[in-house]
Amino acid sequence: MSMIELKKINKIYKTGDSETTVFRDFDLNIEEGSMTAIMGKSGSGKTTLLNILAGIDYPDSGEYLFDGNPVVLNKTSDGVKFRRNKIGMIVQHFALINEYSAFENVEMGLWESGLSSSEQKKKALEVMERLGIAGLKTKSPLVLSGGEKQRVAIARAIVCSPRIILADEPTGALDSDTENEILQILKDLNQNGSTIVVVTHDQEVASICSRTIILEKH
Amino acid sequence: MKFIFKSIQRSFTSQIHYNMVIILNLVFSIAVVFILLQNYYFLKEKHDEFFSWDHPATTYQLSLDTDYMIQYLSDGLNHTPMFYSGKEMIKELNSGNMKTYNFAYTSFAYGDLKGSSGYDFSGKLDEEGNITGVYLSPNAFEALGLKLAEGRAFTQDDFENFDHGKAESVILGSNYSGIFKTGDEIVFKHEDVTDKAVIIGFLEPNTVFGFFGSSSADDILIFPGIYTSFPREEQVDHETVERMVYTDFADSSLYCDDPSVDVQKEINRLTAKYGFYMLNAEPIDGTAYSETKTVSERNMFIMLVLAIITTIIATVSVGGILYVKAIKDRPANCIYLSIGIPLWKINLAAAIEMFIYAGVAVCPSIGLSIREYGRLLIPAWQIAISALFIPAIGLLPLIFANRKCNLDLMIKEQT
Repeated sequence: MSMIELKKINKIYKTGDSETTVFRDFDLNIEEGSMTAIMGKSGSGKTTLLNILAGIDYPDSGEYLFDGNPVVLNKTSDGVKFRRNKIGMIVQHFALINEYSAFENVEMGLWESGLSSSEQKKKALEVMERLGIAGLKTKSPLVLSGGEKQRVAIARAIVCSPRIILADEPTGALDSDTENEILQILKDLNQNGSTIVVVTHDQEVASICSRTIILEKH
Repeated sequence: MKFIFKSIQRSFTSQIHYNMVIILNLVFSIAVVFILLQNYYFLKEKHDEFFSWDHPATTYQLSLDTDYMIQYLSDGLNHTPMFYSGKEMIKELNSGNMKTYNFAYTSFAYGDLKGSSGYDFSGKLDEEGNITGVYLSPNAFEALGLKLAEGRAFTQDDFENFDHGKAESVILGSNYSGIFKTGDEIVFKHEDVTDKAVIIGFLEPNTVFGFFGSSSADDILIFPGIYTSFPREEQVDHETVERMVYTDFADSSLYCDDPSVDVQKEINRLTAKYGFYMLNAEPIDGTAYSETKTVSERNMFIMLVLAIITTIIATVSVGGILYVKAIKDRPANCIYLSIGIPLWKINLAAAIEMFIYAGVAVCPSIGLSIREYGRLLIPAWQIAISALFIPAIGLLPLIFANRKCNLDLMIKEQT
């Protein structure tokens, strides 16, 4: 059974009198433990697909199954709960909060987990050690390099042990050496059992994935 | 809870200049609203105190121009032709529907007043340990709207009783009616002279006294006084009495129950007729009373309207700043949303932060009020509402801005 199944998904954006069809009867299966690249031109719906998978955006019609169960997101709070328990997100420009230290940026992934404060701290530190960034814990994201920032972002994404990691252009803002380091981290996470979906323009990123889906613009 | 604390901490430090503007805005606007409301309540308190009693008549205060005062007093002492002319004018003035009168408060120290029955007045002492008495000139009883529950009013004889051996007449407040009866005597010592007074009547219960009925008359003793500066320690002759009646006239109150009479015009006519000094008749109730009441009501209305307008301006201003702040905070809020923090919690953190600022902002106003008045004139719940209203409504644009947070926006705003 697939971890994620999208069945006959339709998504149309309306702007004034004009309509833009992003998905029409779109189907997608993502297997547990897989690493999938989603490619396509700008406007082909890559980010919309990521938003739907993350429960941030909703399809107009069709079915979204997670572990075989329909994902029902009637209220904003349903999406928030769904995301909190199942999804880890990584974006191109890291999405770190500069006023928090690197450690707090990682720890914040656990603020709503229900764990005690000491457990949150312990787990955040473990993940930072695993990614080799424990030495940066007191530093502000403002003084970190691009690679360090993305490691902190990855640490935050995985700290709550999500079922799936959704990454939107995770290496888009990095130089090639740093890109390789981040790709290696993602590869290691995948080899350790994490399911990963990566939206990318980069063939090199797609090349480390077990599967590539190319979206066409309607 | 950890998120709310961290979010407030981040919001405070990351946007400190906006927060300072918001806090200053709240401090000043809350202070202005606070002062306006405080003045409204203060005004209302005084309004209710002074304007709850409808005086039945129109009363004026007569006054002589100070330039003529020395000459006027000299006329009284030397019995100049003006003195006789003035006496005639006073007589004519009081013969129509206008009456001049005077009243003066006096007080008896405890022990200087006793009932013939042995009653010692200890239960009727005022805050300073005295018993209040009032001297009323002829006409004053009627002009002040006093009414008797029992007995009789003062007659001309009562006012012309200058012999110390003969008992004066006295009318008592209603609270004495269970203690004395008409015909009983009280003995009093006034300015080293011991005198007797016969009780001739009692006032109606709940009688108020003064131009605006500002004090209760239930415990007072009313004596006849043909003039306010009655030298009770001396035997006086008729000539002295006449001089003092004349002297008191220029400082009399004037009662006229006919609203169609133009009092100043009538006074001018009489002074012209007798070649007397020019007298001013300043209304102190009736017209002035109703005008003052109207002004007071308008002032209260203006205070309230100003408080409302200030609140609206401050709310719009704070709302605008909060909207800009929310736009600047949106990337962080999008990140919070992406890691599973619900939007309501993000808004709750912003609301708590604002209410903390409002709590801080109201302190100077409360502190100043307590320092100046020793108490809060405004009820605590109204302080809370006025302090919380501005941030509560001002938060709406922020909530609106936060509704637009999503991953798309996060990605766009990060690039």
